[in-house]
Amino acid sequence: MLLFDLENVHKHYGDFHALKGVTLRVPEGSVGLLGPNGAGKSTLIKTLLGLLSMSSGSAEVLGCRLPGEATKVRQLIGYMPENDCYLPYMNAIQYVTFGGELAGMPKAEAFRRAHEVLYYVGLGEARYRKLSGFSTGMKQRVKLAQALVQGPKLVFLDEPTNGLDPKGRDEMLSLIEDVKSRGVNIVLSSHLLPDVERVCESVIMLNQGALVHYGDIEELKTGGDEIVEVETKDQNDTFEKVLLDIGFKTVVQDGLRLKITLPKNKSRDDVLRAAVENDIQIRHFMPGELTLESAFLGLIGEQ
Amino acid sequence: MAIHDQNYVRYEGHLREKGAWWVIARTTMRTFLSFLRTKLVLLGLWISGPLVAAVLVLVEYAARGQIGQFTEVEAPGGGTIVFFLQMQAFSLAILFLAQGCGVISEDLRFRTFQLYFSKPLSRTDYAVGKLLGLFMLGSLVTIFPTILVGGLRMAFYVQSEFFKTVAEQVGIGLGMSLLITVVMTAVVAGLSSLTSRTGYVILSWIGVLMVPLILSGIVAIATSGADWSHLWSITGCFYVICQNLLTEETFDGPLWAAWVVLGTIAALGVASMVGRINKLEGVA
Repeated sequence: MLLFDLENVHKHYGDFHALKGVTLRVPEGSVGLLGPNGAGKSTLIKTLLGLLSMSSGSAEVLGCRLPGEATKVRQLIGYMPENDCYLPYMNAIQYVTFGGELAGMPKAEAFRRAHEVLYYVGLGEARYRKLSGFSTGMKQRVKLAQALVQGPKLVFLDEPTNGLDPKGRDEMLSLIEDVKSRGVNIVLSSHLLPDVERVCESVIMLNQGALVHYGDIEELKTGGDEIVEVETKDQNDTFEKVLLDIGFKTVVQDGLRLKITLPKNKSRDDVLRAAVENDIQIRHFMPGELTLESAFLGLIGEQ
Repeated sequence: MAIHDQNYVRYEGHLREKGAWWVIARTTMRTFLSFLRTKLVLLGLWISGPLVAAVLVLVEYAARGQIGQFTEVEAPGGGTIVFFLQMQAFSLAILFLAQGCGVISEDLRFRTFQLYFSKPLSRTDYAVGKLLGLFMLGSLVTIFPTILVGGLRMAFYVQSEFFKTVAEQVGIGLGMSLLITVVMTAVVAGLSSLTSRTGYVILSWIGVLMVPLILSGIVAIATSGADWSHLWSITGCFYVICQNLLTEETFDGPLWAAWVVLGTIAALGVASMVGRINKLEGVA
């Protein structure tokens, strides 16, 4: 079964074109959702939850057609929002039970499940504490618990490690990996690309409402093309321009170095030749590996 | 971490597709009642109402020197019910000041819409649930006391010739309690949907009650106490309708205007709330 099947989905807010003909077929598994601010990530999530109507195009989520079966879709999906979204005077049990009941669970069952998922996310001892007294890590966990309470087939996680310290972040990612290992599909929207790399197998990249890339992370990192890392003597910007002018398509600044993706018709010698011809001193030259971050920046840059 | 010690199993049970409005209403009511101030205000209102009534009755009988005939059945008048309903409107206003003004504004402030609308819940479910939750809270000082006191009154007159009259009065009283609760609930929900600051909602609720009341007083002075001066305020409109339905007194003015004023105010409240909810997209 496909998680989403989107066909030429457009969304307009007045004159603003938030989604520009997104076509996607995402199979089951875990997928990262990446894009700079204003890329259309939230609009895509809202559309997939059936909260926004599409201006044109068609969409299916977990086999349910939108917008007709939006309610059914939201029963099958758990959503963990980025922002805090709870009444601070509720305790964790009340909050998660409420989420379960809203999803359609019988009251007693929701209450029982709330205990279960709160223990699962590591909040068993704090389940009767008021949410206002929770730390950032605990708040993230309780949001995850409410997303999991009704046993969703798919969870949308919006910046789940936001504001967490390294230990908390590691614990949250372990938790998400555990959720994934139990057969729950994951859509992870995050600005922290290492998080996406750790949890997801594939990635959706959006920029200015358009789909930039969808595919396997490993494929994206290798890209089938060779990469070299180059450092010049204070001439990275000039060298980047030179390389782009002579037909290198992807040159990404990565700290003090340039990551250059070699097209099929170019070789490492061409890079060195360009440096010699333009009197640019090379200080570092070695085969490199594309990280998700540099691949992402490269794709955005290309666009 | 406790995560690896637990045997988490996915829930595969039945998920109800309708009735989320009742979950919202029940949770809204339960949340209101979880506050100590709500309990104290309710207790105060429940105690003060019967206490005032008892004192007034005793004083009246004592003034007439009729304490000895206290238990004798007399022809029932509607005046006491009008007074009782006025007390209800007052009690409800106090209760909503203490709790209830945050019915929507707290959701706006704490962005709980993200939770609600990521679940299989329609905007109608949300609106109906919130209105019903607030209505149920209000009914604790309006409809329930009317049922209780009305039941006792009917039981007192059950074997007398006045039973039918009393039953009619209790029925009208119940209808008026319902009207008071519905109108005030709609107004508070409407005001609450205008801002995310509950403090502003409380101030505007005081304004909605007090400003027209002051205007009504000014008009009454200027017109030497004309009946239609009551139409300037919400409580005045309730009073006019109650007087007309429960006593022999006639209203010197267009009675339909009181219904129109109350209907318009309630409709504005609901429209404001619905308009706000329709603008929400649910997820930030």
